[in-house]
Amino acid sequence: MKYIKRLLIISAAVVVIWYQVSPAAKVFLLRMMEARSFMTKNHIGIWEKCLFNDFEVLRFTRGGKYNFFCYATNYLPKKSTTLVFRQNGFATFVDRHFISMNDSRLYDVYNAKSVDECLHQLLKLNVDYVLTTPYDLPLISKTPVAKLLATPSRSKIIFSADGYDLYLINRRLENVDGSITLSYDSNQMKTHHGMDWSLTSGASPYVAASPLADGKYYIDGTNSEKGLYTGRGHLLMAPSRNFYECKISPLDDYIITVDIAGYGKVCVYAVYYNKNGDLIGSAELIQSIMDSDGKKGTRLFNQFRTPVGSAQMRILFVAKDAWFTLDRVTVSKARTYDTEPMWQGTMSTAPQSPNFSRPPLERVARNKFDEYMGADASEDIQWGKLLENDDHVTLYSGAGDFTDAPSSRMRYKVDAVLSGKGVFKFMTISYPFKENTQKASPQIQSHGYFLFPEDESPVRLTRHFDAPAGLADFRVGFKIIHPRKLGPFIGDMPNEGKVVINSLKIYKNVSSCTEFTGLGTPEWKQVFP
Amino acid sequence: MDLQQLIEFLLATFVLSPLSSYAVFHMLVKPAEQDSARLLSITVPFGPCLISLILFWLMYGFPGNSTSFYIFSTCTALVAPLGYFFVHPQSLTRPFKDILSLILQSKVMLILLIIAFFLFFSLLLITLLTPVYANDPLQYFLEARYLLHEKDSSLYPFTQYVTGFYSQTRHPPFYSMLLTWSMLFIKNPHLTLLGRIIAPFYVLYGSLVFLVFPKEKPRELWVVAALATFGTPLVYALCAVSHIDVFRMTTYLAAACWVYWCATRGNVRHAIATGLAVGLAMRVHTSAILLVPFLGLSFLILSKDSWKNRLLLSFVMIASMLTICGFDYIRNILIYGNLVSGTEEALKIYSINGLNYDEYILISRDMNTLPTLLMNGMFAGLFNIDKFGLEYWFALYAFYKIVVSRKFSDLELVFLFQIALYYLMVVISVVLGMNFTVKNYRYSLMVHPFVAYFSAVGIYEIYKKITDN
Repeated sequence: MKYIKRLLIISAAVVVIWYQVSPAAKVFLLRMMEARSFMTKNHIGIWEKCLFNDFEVLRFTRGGKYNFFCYATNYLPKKSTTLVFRQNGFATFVDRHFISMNDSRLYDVYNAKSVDECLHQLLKLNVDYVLTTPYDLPLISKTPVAKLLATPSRSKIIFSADGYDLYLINRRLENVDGSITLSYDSNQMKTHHGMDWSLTSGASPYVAASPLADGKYYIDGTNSEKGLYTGRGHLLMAPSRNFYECKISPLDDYIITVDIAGYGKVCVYAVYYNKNGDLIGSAELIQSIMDSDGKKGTRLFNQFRTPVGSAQMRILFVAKDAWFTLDRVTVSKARTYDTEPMWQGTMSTAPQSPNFSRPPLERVARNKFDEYMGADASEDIQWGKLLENDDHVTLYSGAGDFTDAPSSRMRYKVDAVLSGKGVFKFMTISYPFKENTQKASPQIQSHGYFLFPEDESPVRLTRHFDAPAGLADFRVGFKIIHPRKLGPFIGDMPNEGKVVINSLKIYKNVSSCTEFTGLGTPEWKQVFP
Repeated sequence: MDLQQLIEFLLATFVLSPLSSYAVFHMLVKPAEQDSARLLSITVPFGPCLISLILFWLMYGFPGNSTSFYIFSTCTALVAPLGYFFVHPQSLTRPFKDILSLILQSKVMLILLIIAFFLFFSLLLITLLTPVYANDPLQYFLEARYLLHEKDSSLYPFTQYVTGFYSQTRHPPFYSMLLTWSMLFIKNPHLTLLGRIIAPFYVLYGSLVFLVFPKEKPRELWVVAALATFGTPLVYALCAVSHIDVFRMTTYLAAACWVYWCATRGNVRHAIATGLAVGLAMRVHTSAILLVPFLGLSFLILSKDSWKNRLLLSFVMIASMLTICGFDYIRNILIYGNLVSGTEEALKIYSINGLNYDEYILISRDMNTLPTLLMNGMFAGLFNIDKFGLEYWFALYAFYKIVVSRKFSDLELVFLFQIALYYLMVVISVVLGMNFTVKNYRYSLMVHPFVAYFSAVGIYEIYKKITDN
């Protein structure tokens, strides 16, 4: 009896501890693991970790929306105003003006009778960008704002990642469509050498968190010496004439590659100016922790876009307790798509298009969709083959020739003309490169929701997306979101949905990290010893 | 930021202000020497509240001054009451001796307190190493960032700030001012370190209330109640991300103890002190406005005085309370026409059909049908074990035992009233079709310390039953 009592007490204690303590212990362990991983990667101790900029830590440990916020800053001009549906993250991490969805000044926007009136009301508030998160569609789908975002002639997605979409609304589109011709004036740029660092503080979270000594080192593009740089400081490079003689558009991408050897943390920033030489913003292009032995050179690269209104830029190197040697820095225009689509298809007949009308199909279709997740990547896939067509998901697949280094990236553009009813989600399913005989685990990337106009007129969908590292193969899918899932939010939308794909074109980026167009290769010089 | 700034902040916020708060309340109530420790326990949580209050008025009356002006003026105001201890030195030393003897009274107590300290230190470590990322804390830190930039508290709550920032939940300016205080030391609004570490200290303060204040039942049981309160998965997780809930829980608990004390002592000095404590607690969160009916009713029912005296003391309490938080609420009425600031203005947007705000909240939190509303809204504590642990079930068992035995102390009665009145309000509001009381499961954390106490009683009863048999 005595042992039974003890057993009872111990069992009860175990149950209580399991439900009471284990969730808290999980929180504790997760946070500690995150912290440890950050400290190890950055070669810093606990105290330094405590003092680290929140944004940097979050980007490192969480990525996702924090990366989005970082890049969104790049796309938003200094004087822009963005309508945001999740205020606090944007307000904390993006150094731009905004208007929160709960602001009473938006009363007339939400009550607008038409898309144009909604646009007019937003423009009255100086709003030129709208940021939506994956959670916003149900909240706003009945408002004119959702219709505005679904109208290609009135809005355009300029950046999209992790379900977060940044829309440019009408007024700016006028500027975007006509690309800006840049004139580079070397005399004008000279006046900006040795710029005041305080200009960039706040625009870049990293710089704001770790103010750097002013002008300790800087480099311009006039000579061709290589140098070894150590300690805290920044390296300033005047832009190459070749590079800036090209036309740029905010929808174009550029690639920066840096051949570098050294030790420690280095960040590469772009500092943007308008054509009058005024600073309009900065953005982090590359962040890297270099190998501890420091002897082996490495190539850092990234694609980036210049913000609206930018005419000139400087590349900036920020190092923290590091030394490094720069062998080559190249900036080249990246997004030059083939003039002919790599694949083109037309599916205009209804039977081939997703269509549904019965609520129970939702779950069934989801299960079917899940089956695709386990699909074998080694199967013989041909471009344009319609893999599957059910009520919710239509997948188009293609085999790519992407057997480059695992860190390579490729950019694609999908250009589709669609018509239909309801709400759908555009996604890609990517298969990492593996031996053909092995099964690969695919990953799904969502490229945003799309809401058809009520009159079912054809709409054009353009999305740019990156292929993940080590990509071997990808498929493009359209998933219909069942109106019932959105429940009462969808309001006036029909109780059924369908997509008719009138045309679908997929363009491949002709430049990659191994194939540069070589528009400019500036040389470097150490000016101050 | 260097170590010196950290130490200055810790000393001013967690040593100076609690002692100052203790001195002020000690001067007011002049407790018996053996009650000094009890007084200390229920005044300590109001120390940082005093900082927040003083800083608010300094930034309201003298906006745009230097950071050293605000730090120096606040510290001067906090140091002044400490002069009282030069006249009555024993009132400073006695409570610490009593607390030490409490800690060393038994091995079980020592073990429980070590667990409680581990809870505190683990939270401290998390907050030191984890950035602010949760939605609401980001807002509080943003408010503090703007307050630090403008150094003008009359701008609070922000409705049309230059960046576009819009204070969506407009609590009285307690937490935001306290975070502003932390940023004054660090002088960098982007570095949140000092602000992050405030929340774990309220775990310590709340545990102190549980450990020292009550006289009934074994003291170990109260420490278990403290562990149950702050070790609840949801509370722990919220505290780790610098949420506001741990502040309102602790200050509400301390305010309830004050009301109990006033009801059993029944003099004007206690009524004034209780009013001040309730006023400070009411500045923590908008939901703390419920303290007036909840604690007011508890006092009226519990007090043994004549009804005339009860009403008189209630009047004194309310007058005293209004001196602390009256301005916030009067300002709200003048600006927004409503006690809880911005409600009318916010409703203008929330009530727009197209936004479906309420439906969105209910569906995204899985409360859109009656059964889910009951399970995840009204009685979330019972059915969301991943968030609340098993505490509500243990508490239910304790309620059953109390009802059967009809044995409960006055303090337990105060706790019971808070739970009963809260759930009465929830049930009535849901029956009337209003879901504002249930749409966030964090709302019920208001009465969580009281529920956690009864869960400790439940565990104790079960333990007794097993061992007695």
